[in-house]
Amino acid sequence: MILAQQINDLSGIVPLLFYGFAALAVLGALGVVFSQQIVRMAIWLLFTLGAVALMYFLLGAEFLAAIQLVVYVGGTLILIIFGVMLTSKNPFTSLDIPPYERFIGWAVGLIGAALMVFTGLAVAAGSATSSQTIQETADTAASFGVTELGRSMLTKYMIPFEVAGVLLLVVMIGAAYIAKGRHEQADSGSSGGGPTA
Amino acid sequence: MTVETVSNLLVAAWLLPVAGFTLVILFGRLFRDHEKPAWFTVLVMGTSFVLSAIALWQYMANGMEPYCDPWPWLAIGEGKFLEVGPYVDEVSVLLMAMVTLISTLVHIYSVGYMHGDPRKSRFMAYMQLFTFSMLTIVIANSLIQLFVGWELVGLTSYLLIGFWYEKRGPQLASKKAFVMNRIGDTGFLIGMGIVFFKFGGDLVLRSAEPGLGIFGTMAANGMNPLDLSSADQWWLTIAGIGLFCGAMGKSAQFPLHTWLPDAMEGPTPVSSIVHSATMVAAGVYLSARIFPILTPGAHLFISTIGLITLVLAAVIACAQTDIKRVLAYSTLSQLGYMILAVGVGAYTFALFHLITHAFFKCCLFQCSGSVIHACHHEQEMPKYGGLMRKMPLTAIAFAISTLAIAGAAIPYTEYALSGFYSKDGIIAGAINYGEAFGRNGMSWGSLFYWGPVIIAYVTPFYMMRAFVLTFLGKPRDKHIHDHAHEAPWTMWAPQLVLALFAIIIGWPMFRVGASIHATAPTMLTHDAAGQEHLTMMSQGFDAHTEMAHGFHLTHGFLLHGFAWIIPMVLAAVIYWNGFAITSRIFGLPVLKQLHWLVYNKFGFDGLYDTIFVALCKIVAKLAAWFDRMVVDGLVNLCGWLGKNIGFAVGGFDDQVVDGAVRGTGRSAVKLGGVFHFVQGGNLRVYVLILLAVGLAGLAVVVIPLALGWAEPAAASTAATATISALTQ
Amino acid sequence: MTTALTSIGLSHFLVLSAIVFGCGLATVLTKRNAIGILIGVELILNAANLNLVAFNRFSWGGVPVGAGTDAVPAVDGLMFALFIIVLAAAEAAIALAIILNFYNNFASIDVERGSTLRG
Repeated sequence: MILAQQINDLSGIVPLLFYGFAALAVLGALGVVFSQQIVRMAIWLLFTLGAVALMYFLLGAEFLAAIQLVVYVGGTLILIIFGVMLTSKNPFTSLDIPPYERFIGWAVGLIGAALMVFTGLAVAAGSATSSQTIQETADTAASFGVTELGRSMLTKYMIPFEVAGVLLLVVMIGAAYIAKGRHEQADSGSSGGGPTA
Repeated sequence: MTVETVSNLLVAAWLLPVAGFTLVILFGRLFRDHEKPAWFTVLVMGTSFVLSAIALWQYMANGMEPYCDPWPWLAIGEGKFLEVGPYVDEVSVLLMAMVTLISTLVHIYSVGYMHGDPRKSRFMAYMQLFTFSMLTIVIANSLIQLFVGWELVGLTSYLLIGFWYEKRGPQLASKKAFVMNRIGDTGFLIGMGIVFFKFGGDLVLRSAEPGLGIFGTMAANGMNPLDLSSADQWWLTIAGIGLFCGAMGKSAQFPLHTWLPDAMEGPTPVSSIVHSATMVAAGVYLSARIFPILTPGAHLFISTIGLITLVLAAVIACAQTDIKRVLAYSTLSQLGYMILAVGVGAYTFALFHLITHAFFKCCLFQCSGSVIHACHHEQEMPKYGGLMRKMPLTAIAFAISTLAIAGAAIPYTEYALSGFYSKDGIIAGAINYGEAFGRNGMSWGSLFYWGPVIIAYVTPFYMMRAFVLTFLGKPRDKHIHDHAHEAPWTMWAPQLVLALFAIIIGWPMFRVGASIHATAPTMLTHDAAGQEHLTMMSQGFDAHTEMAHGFHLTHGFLLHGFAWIIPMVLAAVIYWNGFAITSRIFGLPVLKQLHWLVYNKFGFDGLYDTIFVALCKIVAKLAAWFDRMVVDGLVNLCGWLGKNIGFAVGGFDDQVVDGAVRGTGRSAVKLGGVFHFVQGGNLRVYVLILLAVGLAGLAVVVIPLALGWAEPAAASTAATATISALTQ
Repeated sequence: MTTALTSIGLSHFLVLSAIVFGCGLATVLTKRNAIGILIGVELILNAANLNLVAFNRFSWGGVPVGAGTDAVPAVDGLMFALFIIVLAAAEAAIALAIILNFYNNFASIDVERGSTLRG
């Protein structure tokens, strides 16, 4: 928060920071789209995730930025890389699809992005505070404390918070079950072993 | 120059290596040969050293006050922040200069040593990161920043020790170093948590009053450690021991010491920097920084650990034949001295010894690296001998450092090499500590000074043994001796510089040390020994030296200047002809087993393997039993219930529900025929259809809005109308 | 035009998130690798999160709830984002479990192999 304020004090730097982080995010996202090897995709994703975390910093949501780094970069991405390593003899394998399908995919992506840009601009134009810049809202942003998040997590968002906890438990059990269910049947109880396709 | 400028200089010196690391790791591969990036890192490190040296000079010359420049980092509640940023006081300024100087010299040495390695520039980049991590610790203003640097040191040491990851040895050694350090770090985290939650929620290291050292804020918050309740004192003891556990891991104290000798598997420049300025120094530095919160209980714990390490490692060093292993155990032993110094209250001498030791131990390792380099990568001393004539410069540097670590001094004068002053201070502190116990009727306290005094005799013995076996006597392996040659200048020049510092660094430091020590730290007391300790500490440095001086007068023959001559002559006589004499002695029955035990380092590695593997197995068996009996039982019960309920419901199902389902099924088959063309099982087609529909819906709503065909309200009405039309 | 470029407002963040979202869509549509599709989904979720946080800052956090002096700043957008991160982690775990199972059955993570599941 204070850091965000300090950044915003140097209001000349904010646009530079924004465009820098945005370039990093877009670069990473494009890298994901255009790389063929799965490990490279994961690495490009890392850049986007990191850039989004930096964006959160810029927006004054420092706790969220930390969570983004810890959970996404530290957890989800590692999980993905584990997945890659567990399911491929060569992590640099690539699977091609027919060119026309690829173009359809890109076109849909482009259309989607364009539509979202339209929507975003329209929403921003309709919003009362849209004319405010990030520098101008620095004061309010200064009060997005962890305290506030913690309080609303235990009051207003109590139920979702509990449900999320239960969900995580279910996911943990479910994932363990799904990931090794077939093995047990095929090997009749012996642990380990290769794929039984 | 103001203290702010000094602080800024130090920040620049701190951040330069990480810039160097980034540049070299990203762009180093653009250069075909590795020389340019390598010399670039030397340049960066050199600049960093020059900045720190200017800062040191200005700070000392102007007699500045400690200064802190806190940068709020992360808000953790109302008005509370985790802080990072530089903290400038005598200790950090001095250590910054020491670390950057030694790192520069090791960088130069690495340029020569790693010549021809295909990943040389990456190695140099890692060295930069390693130095940066250590500087992060040294300059740290809060425990949090210190911890960040702490973990970075752990990571980079892993990368560097395992640099030759193609080989099995380095792989295992780097893993071992990492795991051993993690064990210690658990304690660090626990200690940090206790300090955070029990004592003011502030992890800031800077002092409220100048000279009080870290955790002064605790006192500033009205938390005078002397006024704490006994329960809080227990918490503080645990916090101190916990934080010290981190130091035990990094500084390789018993029982977490086994990683350090194994870390020899890394390239020798890594050993020379790990054993001197960076990694092992971090633990001692942390212990010295947390000194003000150490309670008498924590002191006893720390000095006991230090004493055990000190004695154990020195004994092991006497029996090793691998030159780097001798040096590694000698490092352990010297670290034991430093930790003991913190435990007995002479923490300034711990830092003093840390600095002097850094110079001569770095020099010793570089010399051993040159010898190994010259001798076909042979590390066994039985194969050496008579290398003096072949590599005179290396031999001179090794000899000077040997004298320095032995604490050589001219008898009955104040003139000595650096190691003498620092070790002398530590022994004086240990004597004080032991006598404080003695006055309270605990005679076993005298162990705390007999240990270091006796080891002061053992150190010169094993160091001289290494020197004689390597450089003097007759060559024992003709082939290796013929091949040996002096190292290139990039390797011998840093050694000579280090040797020079090993001679002179003690003299000015001795003067400075007195001024640092003049402020007595606050101590906790809850028993007689602690009270005694407090009085002793509050008498300050003068009383300290007074007592030590008195001791010198009575025991002058033991210590003052003679401790090094006798064992060195002994070692020279025994080992002049290689292992001729010792092999006869250790052929005798009991001595043979004893030698075997010492040679195998008292079997700690095997012991750990046995204990922990057995422990894991027991836990696993217990868990399996619990699983089988309790969990499975519950699951089976649920299954049985489910089955029986299922049977009961099944009858109802067959008759009533199935009829309905069969009817639905028939109509579904017909409908399925209609949708078959989109249900190809191809995931991308599904997603495409889904997205196309979604996007089309969005377009219907947004495009009129964006193009100004409709008012926002009208658009939302249109959207509602569309949705209701779709759902009907 | 200079003001639009130099004063960063809500729309800038929305446009950025739209681009990332589009990339996510394209990734989901063009990869045959199941993990690649998962990565695309992560991109989409991140774009959504960025939107939420930006809205919280500009449209919502800008006007504290109950406009007194000790008004509590609204953090709903941040909370949503937080829950989405949790869900994304859960989703990734489940998806990878499914992918592992898929791999056990087909010795590949090419989703086109999965079309044999049709009945």
